[in-house]
Amino acid sequence: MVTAALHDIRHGYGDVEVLHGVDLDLRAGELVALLGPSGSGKTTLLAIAGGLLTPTAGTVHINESPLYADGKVNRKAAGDTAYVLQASSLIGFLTVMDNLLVRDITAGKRTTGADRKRARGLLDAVDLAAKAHRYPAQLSGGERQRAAVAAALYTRAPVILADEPTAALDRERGRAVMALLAEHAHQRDAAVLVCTHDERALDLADRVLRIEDGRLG
Amino acid sequence: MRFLAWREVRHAPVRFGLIASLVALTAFLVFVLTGLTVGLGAADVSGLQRLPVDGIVYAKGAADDLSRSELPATDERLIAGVAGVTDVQPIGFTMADLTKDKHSVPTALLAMSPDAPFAPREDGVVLDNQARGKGLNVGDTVRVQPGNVSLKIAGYADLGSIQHSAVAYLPLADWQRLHNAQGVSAYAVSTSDDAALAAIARAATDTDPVTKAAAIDAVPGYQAETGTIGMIRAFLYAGAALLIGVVFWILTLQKEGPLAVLRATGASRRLLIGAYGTQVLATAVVGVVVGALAGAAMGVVMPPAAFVLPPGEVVTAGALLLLVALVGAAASVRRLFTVDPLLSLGRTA
Repeated sequence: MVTAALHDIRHGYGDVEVLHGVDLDLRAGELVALLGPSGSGKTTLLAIAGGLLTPTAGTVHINESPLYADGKVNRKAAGDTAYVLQASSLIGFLTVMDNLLVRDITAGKRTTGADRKRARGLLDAVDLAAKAHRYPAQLSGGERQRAAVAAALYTRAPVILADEPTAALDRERGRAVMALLAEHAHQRDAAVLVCTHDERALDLADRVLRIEDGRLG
Repeated sequence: MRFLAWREVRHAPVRFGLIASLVALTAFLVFVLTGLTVGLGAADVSGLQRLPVDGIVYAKGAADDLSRSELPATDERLIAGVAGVTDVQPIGFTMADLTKDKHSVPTALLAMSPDAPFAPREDGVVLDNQARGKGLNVGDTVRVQPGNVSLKIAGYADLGSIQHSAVAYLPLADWQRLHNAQGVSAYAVSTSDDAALAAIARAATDTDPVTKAAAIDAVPGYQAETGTIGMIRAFLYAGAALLIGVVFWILTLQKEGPLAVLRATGASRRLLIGAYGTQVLATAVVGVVVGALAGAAMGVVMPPAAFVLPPGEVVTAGALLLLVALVGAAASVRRLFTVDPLLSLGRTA
């Protein structure tokens, strides 16, 4: 089943087109690794897939609902996506635990003990349970990266979009994070797209795609 | 929204503490200036403000100045005969020193008939309380200069001051003896309708009747003093708006990263603005309350006649400061609307 469908996506910055008619289907229960050099259009594609950037042309559907309509973002469809943000993008004034719970809180949901237990379980899975009440500035780069992964997985969004989630990690931890994302995809039936330069853990991906100069290979 | 607002404040107490201190310092200046303005104004006109009358009838050409006004006693009957006039009281006024031995107290002598409903009941000179402790005691005989007439201190009361001198009530007959005259300075009138003052001018053509408010405004120096400090206060409010606005603007600049992440995670603009507004209001309220307390403490150490901070003025100035803080902070709300969630991903496509 296709969870996220991107069709003929084009996007440019000024006169420079960085995506040239990209077609991409993300299926439930699979982890797709998107490899490509810097400037190839990975992050732009990720932003378009998550509702952060309206494409110049093309369509995006999340669970068959259009993500962009009449130049506006369909908030409900966008709510079905979650990002593994880059390490520096955790909210600095929230503890690691609160960074996981923040999406519930901003959505007006009252967090319960069960929510905290689940968040703690995810932090345990990324080896951060002991640092749940620390602030991002008190963590190492690798720890922040793992906290960002836990925060995205906490959302239970059917589409997880990860931007270089293993960039700041050593081989062992990088593999652990990829394994966690793969496990999430398989167990939760989520569609996970990972943009990466890192080829060390590609064996954990169900599909590997390459992007270069805004075209999928 | 309270969650986000409070978590950020809790994470950066020094930053928000400094902002609150800045607001408190500004509020303190506003409250001190307010106290001085009201105090200065009261020192100039409170003796007139406390007269329970509707208007003052001056001599024509006296520029509504009690010191320069002289009217004949015969005008009382003319004024009393005007329709709408319910009471007429002749008053005498002179700036004079009361002296005894080496003690000398500058006063604003306000004379009236002992029968006047608002005249002190004591027979003799009654001094405002601010003259207490200056060497003149009840029962003392003092010399009035100029005039060189001896009068007895009959008591103290809360009478206010005029032209920065404590009011000293005395019987009109003593004042006339002091001036060796039969006339009066002016007449204090009570009226049942607004047209009565104009009718007085027609009935007694040598008079210039004005409302009590106009009489207060005409006290020499009052407009200039309160106007100058009022202008300083206005500039202070404008400065406070600018200062607080800039501080909160810088605060929002620093928040751009977290705001972008929050937007990327689906937080609505309404939520972000609510959280920001909560922070601004809480910081400003803390600052204003601290400033008001410091201002009130200032009132304790300042001479009572020079600094008056009525609760109504505190509430008005406090509300104005909060408004100024919100208006100043509103200038940076646009950043909350325009923050790009893409910043959370970086732009290294």
